[in-house]
Amino acid sequence: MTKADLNRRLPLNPRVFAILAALLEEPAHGYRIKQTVEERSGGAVTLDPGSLYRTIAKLLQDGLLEEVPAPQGEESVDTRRRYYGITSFGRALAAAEASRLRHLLDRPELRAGFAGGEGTD
Amino acid sequence: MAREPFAVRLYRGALGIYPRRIRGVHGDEMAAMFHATWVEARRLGSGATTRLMLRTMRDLAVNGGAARIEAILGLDPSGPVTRNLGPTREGRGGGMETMLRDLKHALRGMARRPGFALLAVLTLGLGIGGNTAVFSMVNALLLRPLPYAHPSALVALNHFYPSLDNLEASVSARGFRDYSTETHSFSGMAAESGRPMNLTGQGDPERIDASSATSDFFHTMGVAPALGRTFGSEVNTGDAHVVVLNGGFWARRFGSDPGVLGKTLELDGEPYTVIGVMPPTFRDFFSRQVELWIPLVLREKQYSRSYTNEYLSVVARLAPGTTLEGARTEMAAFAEKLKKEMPNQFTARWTIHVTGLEELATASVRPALFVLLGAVVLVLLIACANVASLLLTRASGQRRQMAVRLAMGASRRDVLRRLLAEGVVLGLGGAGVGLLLGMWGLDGLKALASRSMPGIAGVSLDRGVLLFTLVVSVGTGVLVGLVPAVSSRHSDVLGALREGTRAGVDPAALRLRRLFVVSQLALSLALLAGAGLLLRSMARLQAVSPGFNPKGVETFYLSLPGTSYPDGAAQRRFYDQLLPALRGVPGVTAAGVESVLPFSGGWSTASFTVVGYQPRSNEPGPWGDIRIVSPGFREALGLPLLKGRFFTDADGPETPTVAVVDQELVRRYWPHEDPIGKQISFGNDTIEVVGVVGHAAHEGLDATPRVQVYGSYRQFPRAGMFVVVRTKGDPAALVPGLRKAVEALDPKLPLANVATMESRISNSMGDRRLSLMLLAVFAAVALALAATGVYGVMAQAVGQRTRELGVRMAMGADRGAVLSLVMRQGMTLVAVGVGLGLAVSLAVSRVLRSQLFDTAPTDAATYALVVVVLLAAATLATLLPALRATRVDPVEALREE
Repeated sequence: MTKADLNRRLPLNPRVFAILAALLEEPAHGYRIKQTVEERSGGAVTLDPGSLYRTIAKLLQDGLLEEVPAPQGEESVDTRRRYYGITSFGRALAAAEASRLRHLLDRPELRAGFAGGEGTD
Repeated sequence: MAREPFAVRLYRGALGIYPRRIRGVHGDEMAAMFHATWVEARRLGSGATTRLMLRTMRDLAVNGGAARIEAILGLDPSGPVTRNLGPTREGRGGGMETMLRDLKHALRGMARRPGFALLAVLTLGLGIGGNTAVFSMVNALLLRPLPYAHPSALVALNHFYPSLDNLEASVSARGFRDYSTETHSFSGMAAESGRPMNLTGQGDPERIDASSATSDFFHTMGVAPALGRTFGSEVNTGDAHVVVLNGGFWARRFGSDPGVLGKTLELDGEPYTVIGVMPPTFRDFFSRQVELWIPLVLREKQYSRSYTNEYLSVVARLAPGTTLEGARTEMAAFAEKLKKEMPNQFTARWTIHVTGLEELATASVRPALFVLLGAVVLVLLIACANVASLLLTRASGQRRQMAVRLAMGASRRDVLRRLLAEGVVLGLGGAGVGLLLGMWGLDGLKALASRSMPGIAGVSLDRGVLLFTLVVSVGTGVLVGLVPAVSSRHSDVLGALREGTRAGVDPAALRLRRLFVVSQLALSLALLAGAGLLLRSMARLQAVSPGFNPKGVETFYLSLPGTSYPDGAAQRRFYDQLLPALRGVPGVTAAGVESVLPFSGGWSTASFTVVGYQPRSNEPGPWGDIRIVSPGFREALGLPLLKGRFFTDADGPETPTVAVVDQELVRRYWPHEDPIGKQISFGNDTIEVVGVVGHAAHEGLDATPRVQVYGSYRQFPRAGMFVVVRTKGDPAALVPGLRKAVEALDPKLPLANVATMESRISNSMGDRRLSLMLLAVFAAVALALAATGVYGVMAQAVGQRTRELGVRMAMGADRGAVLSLVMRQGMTLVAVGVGLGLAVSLAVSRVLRSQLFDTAPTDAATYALVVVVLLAAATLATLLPALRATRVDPVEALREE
């Protein structure tokens, strides 16, 4: 898939981007995804069960996520739990979105405009 | 495995709205996630569970509904979320295009039959409009977060007296100091105390709702000023003549002029410098009308008073990591410790309550709103049944057309989609009408409820409400469209084609319509019963006498500023002069003053000792309303004197202090003795009882009576007094004359809180009246819809049996026989509906219990009346088609064959 192909699919829905970003380091089950997303966004993005799993279902269907076996040490906690990992396609798409956002914010006139405000990371 | 809580099992059931594609794979995980959030919400209190429930309903409606619609319409589910992902399926031509085509088709069909479409749209509009109006109230009053930073961490502290009718009292200065310094659950604690003030020096004197607050009040609430600053070090140095304005007051009085900082206001005759303005969205939690705040300075003098000298509203912010439960445990333990150290200060079960502000904010309106929400959902269901019924009738007429389409090779899915599109178009039309009705309805609600539901003025049809209406209408449309769609699924193509040109009636559809009629009747009966119960309890409440005669009584409040009236002698002198002046106003027949007026919203209670009466252990000591009044007050309010005498001008600072008590006190403490000459004591003051008056209702006609003790202002002078004036004729017309009489004595003194006694009493029943009116409106709409439903079904049944009836009449049956045949058929439906409705309403009427006064939720007379009303309407609706049946011409009917 070329870069142009990826870019055509941008911008990503913020909720989709947040879910992909939450899975970059390691696979997780749904509840952990919810916690990570809500924690990282400082509560700005909330995921109710319906919105989370409807999105997960779509991402699975589109090949951005895949179901993976439970990581070592967590197998026995709850057999009903499913774990989701990001696919290489999902990773590439998330990276493309991240770079799009970065370019968007990195314009000099924006930097000057934001300079007065309080900074957060 | 432990059994899941009921809410989780309910949620599992609701997951049925998701198509199997999602529910089958993720259902268990979704339920587990809901379980975890439910447990967390339960821990936080009922405000949190309410919010979670409503949020979950929204999640189910939006995501479940969308997923279900996608599944039914066969739309590509990857569309909206991850734009352009995945290959487009061949031959679909895009779900969007198909949908537009279907919608266009549906619109064309409706344009051909505008009467049908109009009826359907209006019916749905009624249901959707009601839902829009009521949901916008729920949204604003229960769902919208309080305008403070992280409001869920804010709590209020109260002293709680289980032995004094579960009194939730304020907190004393001493308590406030100890709780803020000796506990660990809170990261901040602030106190405030309402303090109305007279604003003078600019135009007319005005009575302002002001409040005094400790320096960290705004910081604890987490709201920064829009302009300037809030209280700081001046509070400690004692230079406390500064003021922070509310945004609304700033706009009203200063036209939002930013130059207001540094200006001086004259409050109660003293100059205060404006140091800050709060944003217009900020409102004081404990008293929403507060227009400005001055510093509350607490010193050793206040701290040294008793623990139960309670006058501070205390708000605190939970420290990070502390839960509400943790704070409750700590404060309860602290209360136990205090009781051990000072056993004489507290009653036995006294404790300290910690309540979330969010819960506190919604507690008073929640039950009424949920009843209304339930009622309005029932109305919508009834409206849906009517429209689905209409569509069914139409669909049976179109069976042949549909069969032809299927025979020509259209897929069932296409037919299904057409029907759904039609439903959605009707739903959206209903949304348009519903929004209009909702807007008007909401204006009406605001006018009715402005007093009983503070905060309703800010209710508006915002984005959340619009979204709700959209979801409800599309959902409604899908629901009503789905009914004929599902019933057509099983229809037999060949059979429909064979029926030839005759407009066949699908018997399955007629059965379904009968089912609708039965459920409509049952639901209407439930609504009628609810309205009937509220009506009956209102009638009973209005028949309760307040204990005095409120007709022709005008009241207002005066507050003498400390600068011009520094002591009791000055205050007494003012009222000594005022009363004769008021009695001189033409039209006035009696005048008096009282410190705390019944139905004014305020109250003042105290504990005292009845000399010679020893409360048993475990029993609370005497406690009740304390009121300071003047001679002439009894005549002005119309309070009967039962024994002894009332106060006279001869009672004064030099004569022995005397009290008048109410009959409730006599009944409790001297049931078999002569109360005259008995003594009661407040601390060191012992007072002799000289008279007994009737009991005057205070908070409301339905409130449990408290005992009442009256003293004379000539012996216990006060700065702030309600003036009570009895008049001949219209009391409100006398206000200018009364104002002139006050002005003549002190031109700087404003008349505040002017109202007739009758309007005060009527306002105390405001929320009852509101629930009653809304339920009555909903019940009337439900009744009309149900009657239309019965009529429609019976008319169709008669139409279907035209031939049969014709044959019967040709064979010699007379009109009476035909009439009773049709009536019997109709009334069977009605009887089933009424029976079912009775069972349902008896089962659910318990939810009304908190709003009923002296009326059982199963009140037989009410149910009987309601059944009669419903039967009358249903009989009328059956009679019209039955009469038409008797006019069938046998020759015509037979010729059709």
